[in-house]
Amino acid sequence: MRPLPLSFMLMSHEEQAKMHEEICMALETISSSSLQNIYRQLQQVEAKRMLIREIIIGLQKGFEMSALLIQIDTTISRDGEYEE
Amino acid sequence: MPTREQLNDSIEAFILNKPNDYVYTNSDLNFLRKYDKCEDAGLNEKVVFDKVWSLASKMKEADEAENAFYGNVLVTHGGGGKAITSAPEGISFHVMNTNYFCHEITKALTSGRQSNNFMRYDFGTLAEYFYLGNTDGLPSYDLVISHPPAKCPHAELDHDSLLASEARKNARVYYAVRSFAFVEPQGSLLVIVPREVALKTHEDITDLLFHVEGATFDFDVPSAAGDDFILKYTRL
Repeated sequence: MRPLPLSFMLMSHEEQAKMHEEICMALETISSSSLQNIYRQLQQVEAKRMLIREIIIGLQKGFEMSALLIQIDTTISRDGEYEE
Repeated sequence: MPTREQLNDSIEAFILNKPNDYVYTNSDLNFLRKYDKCEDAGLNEKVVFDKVWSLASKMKEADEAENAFYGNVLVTHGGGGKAITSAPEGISFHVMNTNYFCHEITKALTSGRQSNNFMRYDFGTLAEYFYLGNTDGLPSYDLVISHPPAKCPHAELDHDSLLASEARKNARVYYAVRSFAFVEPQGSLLVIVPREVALKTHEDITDLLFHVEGATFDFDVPSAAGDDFILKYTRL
């Protein structure tokens, strides 16, 4: 698991939770037909936590949420191809 | 003589400025022990955690004879690592923390155990497992130790509206109930709470736990005299 950015870990509990809330709201709108690779990740708790971490890392780098979700979905799909 | 605040600030500066590969000396570790902003700072290690480990060792007859504990343990609020520094040998730990400095202090004070035991230092909260309504594949442990705060904004994001609403009222009850989901059959959950709220918290926990888990648990009733500060729930 990649370490979380220091800038996130130094946030207050309220700020961390606010960011989690924003991520959860974005993930709630995902369906099996929109971003199917991310949707699959959400079905397992450890994968779900890892996905949330990846989104935090991306957001802290300044990426916009929707672009980030598309990028992560594509990366998971490519990883899947290599595994096959 | 530095004030408490100055001491905490200088410990935080030390943690932020140390190189990644820094090896702590004994005097560094003594310095880190003085940090008092972690959840367990007010707990007397000898009184509280000796009692925790004494209760834990009674779970299995063989362990009680050896005054030991062999198994996997989840610590939901790692604080400054007192639950681990006082623990007997033989335990694999998963420690969660949402405060960076406490997370680093716990690692510094307890990573020596890694030579013999598995240690997972997890920056995050147990509430994350209950975001978005899916809990398939929850890990399970022989023992879960929780020292929850009364308020926690992460807990309020639980997908279950009843649990989220309970978290807004009293995060201690929330964490006790959610922590129990990680307890294996015959395993136990130990919740450390302030003495003055122990009985009321226990009543609220048992009500909500029964609602969520059904009749799958046994518990020790805290004394009405208000002496108890550790609540124990065992999965049947």
